[in-house]
Amino acid sequence: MDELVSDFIAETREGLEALDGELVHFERHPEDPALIGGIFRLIHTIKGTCGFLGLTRLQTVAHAAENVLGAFRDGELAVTPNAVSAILETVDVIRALVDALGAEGAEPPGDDSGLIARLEDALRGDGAPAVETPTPAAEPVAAPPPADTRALIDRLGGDATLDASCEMILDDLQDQAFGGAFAGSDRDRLQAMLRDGLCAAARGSGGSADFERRIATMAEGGVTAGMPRRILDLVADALPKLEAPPSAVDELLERLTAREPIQDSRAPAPADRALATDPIADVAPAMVFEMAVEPMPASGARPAASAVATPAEAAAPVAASDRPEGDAANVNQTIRVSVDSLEHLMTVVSELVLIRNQLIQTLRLDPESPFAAPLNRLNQVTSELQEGVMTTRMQPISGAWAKLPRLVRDLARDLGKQIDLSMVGQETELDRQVLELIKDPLTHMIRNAVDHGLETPEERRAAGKPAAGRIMLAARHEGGAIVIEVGDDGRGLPAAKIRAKALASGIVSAADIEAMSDADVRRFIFAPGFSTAAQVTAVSGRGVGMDVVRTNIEKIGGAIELSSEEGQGTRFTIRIPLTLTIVSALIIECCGERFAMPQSSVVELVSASDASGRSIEYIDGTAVLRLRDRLLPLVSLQAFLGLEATQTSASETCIVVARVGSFTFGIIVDRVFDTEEIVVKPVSTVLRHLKLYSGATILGDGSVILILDFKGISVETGAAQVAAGAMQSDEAAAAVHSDNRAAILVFRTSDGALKATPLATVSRIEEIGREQLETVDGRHVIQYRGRLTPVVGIKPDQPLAWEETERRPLLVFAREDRSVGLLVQEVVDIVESSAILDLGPARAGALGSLIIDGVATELIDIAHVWRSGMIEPEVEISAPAAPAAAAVDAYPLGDKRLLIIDPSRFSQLMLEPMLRKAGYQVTVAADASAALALHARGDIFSLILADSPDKPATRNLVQALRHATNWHRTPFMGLGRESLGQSSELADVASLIQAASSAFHEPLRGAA
Amino acid sequence: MSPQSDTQTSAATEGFVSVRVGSQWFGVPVLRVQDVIDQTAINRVPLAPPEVAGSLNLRGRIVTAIDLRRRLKMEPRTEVGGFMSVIVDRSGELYALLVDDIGDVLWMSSDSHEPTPVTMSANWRGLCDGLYRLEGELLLVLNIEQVLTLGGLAHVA
Repeated sequence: MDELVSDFIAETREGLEALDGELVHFERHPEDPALIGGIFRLIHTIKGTCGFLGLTRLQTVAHAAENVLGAFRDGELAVTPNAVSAILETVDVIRALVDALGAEGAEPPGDDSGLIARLEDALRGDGAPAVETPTPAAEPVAAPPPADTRALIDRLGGDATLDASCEMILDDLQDQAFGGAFAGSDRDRLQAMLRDGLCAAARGSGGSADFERRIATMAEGGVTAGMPRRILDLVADALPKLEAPPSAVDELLERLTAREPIQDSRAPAPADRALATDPIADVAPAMVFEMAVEPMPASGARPAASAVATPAEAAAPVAASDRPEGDAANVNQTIRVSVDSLEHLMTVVSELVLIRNQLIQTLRLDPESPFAAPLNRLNQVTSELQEGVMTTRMQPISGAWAKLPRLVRDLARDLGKQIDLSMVGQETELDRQVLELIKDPLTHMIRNAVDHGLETPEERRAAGKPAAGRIMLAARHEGGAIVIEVGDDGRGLPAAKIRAKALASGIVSAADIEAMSDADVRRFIFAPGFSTAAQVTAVSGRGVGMDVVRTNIEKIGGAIELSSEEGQGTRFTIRIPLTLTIVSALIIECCGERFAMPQSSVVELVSASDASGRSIEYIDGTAVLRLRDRLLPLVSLQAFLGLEATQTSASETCIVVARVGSFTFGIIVDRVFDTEEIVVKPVSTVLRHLKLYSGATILGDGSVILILDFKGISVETGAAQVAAGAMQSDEAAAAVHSDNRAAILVFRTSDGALKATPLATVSRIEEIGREQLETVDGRHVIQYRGRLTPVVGIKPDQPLAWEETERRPLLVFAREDRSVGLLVQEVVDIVESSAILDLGPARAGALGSLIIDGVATELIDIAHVWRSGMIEPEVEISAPAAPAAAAVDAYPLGDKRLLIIDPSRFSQLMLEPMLRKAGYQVTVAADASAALALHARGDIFSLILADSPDKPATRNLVQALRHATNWHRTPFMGLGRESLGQSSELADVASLIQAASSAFHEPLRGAA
Repeated sequence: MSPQSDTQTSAATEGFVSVRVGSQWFGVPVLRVQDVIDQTAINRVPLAPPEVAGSLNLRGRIVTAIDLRRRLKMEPRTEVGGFMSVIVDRSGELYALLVDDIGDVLWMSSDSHEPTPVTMSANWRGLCDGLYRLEGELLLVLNIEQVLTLGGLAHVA
């Protein structure tokens, strides 16, 4: 019995989980018969099982709900929100009862009469006439005393037994013996009809007349003589097989056949909980008619269709009617396994994997071993087993979503909004541990979307949108990670308001925020200070607890991004790892100790040795590495972990380049081994205060090693401040400036003046050599990772007093993936300062001054730096790179067609892919005649970029293009590639650019 | 277990795994002990509190090793001969207590339980739950919870 109850609890919980969603869906699509059929069956099963287990309270509640659902299904009752709410309430009650049952092993006492009354109201309210009162007063001439009838139904084995008997005879009913009267009937309905008739009789609330009427509703061509009798014979055969005592069966049959007394006295019979009783008698013919016009059940009219349908329909119920067999078939499909035993299995498998690894290692030492073949086989089988066990831990994401439709529905009702929730990719599977952890963040985000994201129907209509808002949930696998998107088509995040709020709450300085794009500003909703304050909700309309969401997601190694467009909606994209337990890690060694580094954060491995031409340099004792064209801050793991240095071959050093957020740094290690799939185990509690370990694992040789947490390392090292700065400016996650003090970088410009900028605005500082500085079109740039970063701070007309060997610091300001460098003479200091004295409108390029160590220091205007860096046409064009991010709030780039006229291979190799990547459609023509051919073809471009080796050629080109009349309104831009020192010759081309590009500039400016 | 319990129950006995740390014998409540293992490879944990000797692998589970000598502020272990480990469980996590030697399991009547002398050092008193007199020895009962609570100490440095 205990086992039965616990099975019932598990089964019911599982069913209920799905039910909320299905009901909400049903409310929208009341016409979907499959949906209501499923819901009805579930409640019906609960009711039946409860009856069997003697759980009367549950049974009563479920029965009442089943009646309403039955009425829905039969079309007797219109699907109204109130009725659905009552059903949902029932589901809650059932859930609470089941939970209590699980906790205490017994049904808690309680009174559900209120709920049942509501359900009965719902049943009457819209469907049947309200005569169906179960008042005992309506039954003055009840022939058998209620006690006896109770006894009868109990003696028969309750509703469940009668129901089962009906199920058993379904096949016979649909057989030709009944002239095909029931052949086309819906089996569920048929069964319910019979059962209700039998139950009514067994309870004394119905008799033969009632029974016949019920049959009439289902039978094709009406009730023929003897039909009830034959059905009853079948019932009489079936019931004893269900261990119903023969005396009780006889009594039941008697009631159903004894016409006179029952018919008379039962006319105003109480319905009890039966569905259709005498008062419905008038309705019955109408129902019959309805059935007849309904194509599906009325198969008599379409014999061909029924012939096709019947075998298929009959096939499944055959198994179902034979209980043991049906159950066995189900058992083969799925079994219930407790999470604990799964976890245990996982542990054991991990252990097996370790042993396997150990054995494989011995095999490496002795490849000729006679065990080689079986070991290899073991290796393979173990891997398969591990994979298999991993898979069992995977669950579809619908588990985390199941409650959301209900949540949305209830919230929408409360808020008076209309909301369509669409869910895509529910079958996407992920580790159950991860699943548990994302449940709350997801719920929170959906709540936000409903509450703040979507407008009221009136607002939506006013904005020209459909009244019903849409919330979209989508999940998919993407390269070892799960991507979940939560989107709405609501009002979006108002950047201006967030900007104002961020400024007011002091988490960002005016200078910073001015330099920020709207997308950056919106990310403030993830900042802690931002989300908790209630007034922010009112202002920004979004963001309560978004920092918690972000924290929770980051805790499981995930990331969250958002894109929003005012008036169009908001979309969050969450990326989380598939599983937390097994990760790919790089095993490294330092001073004889091994550590694991999560592969996901490792960018690259660099070997620094004299031979490779790269060596570690020291600035004031701080190690840095020149990596390609940037300066990489280095952390020595040995020094960092306080390990005793061992004498290793110092000629070569391995550097693991890691990225945390946008901060990239190198970690000096002694050796790098291999990448391994490791099983992550939590760090012991006594070590949890060490933020630099994210876990521990056991290697193949049985040794325990620690998994390094790059984030922890970056925070703990001295690089942390810069890192924090970089991350803040990039992620706009700035919450560090809780007070108004900020780290200020003080530097000296080439004219000797002291200037300053908040450290947070500087994404990195590089040292560049004279030779790295290149000139393109009269502007200075440096190459960085295949992109050009404009360098400001040098006046083009001024000759550079710069020794060839001297290196100068370049302050790099980054925004999205663009950056601009400010070349300075030297970096003086980093100071903590809060004394920013705004001198009002200072000269261009300065925000004001502050006193640092008694010296007035000008605070530079970063926005000005950006502007001066961005004037350059080429950078301007490549600026809106990362089209996915930029396209949202920027400018539709897809329809921007560019024509490049360039004889050199440069365009094909460099320019074209770059511009394409930036989202433009690019066509390349080698010369003017090729371009004219395109013109003749009728191609239209938004901008023409032309490059020619010298001035006359340019002139010729321009001359030639005069003939392209359709292009006269197309902006034309020159691309200068003159070398440094010849800048005076540029005048012509440069002015051309200025003039020609202005037309095209304006829209682009919007994007920048 | 508590010092008062001796007055309340008379017949109850409690088992202790006797372990030697330095020259002192301690009792580890037998119900807390999962395993006793011989010297094994311990992997260091850099920057861990000094009491944490490292982590070891016990049949696929990671066990944090606590050096009782350090925990009790005794002389560091000098003899090369080694150590043994008593594996105890604390809310699902396994810890190995590194000791010098392991003796018998002693069943002590709670009648003979005595409170720790107030004159004992505060550190030891905090880690012990009274003592039992043996022949020629004293068996100090270790309070495992306290022994494994390094929090306060971890942040001293």
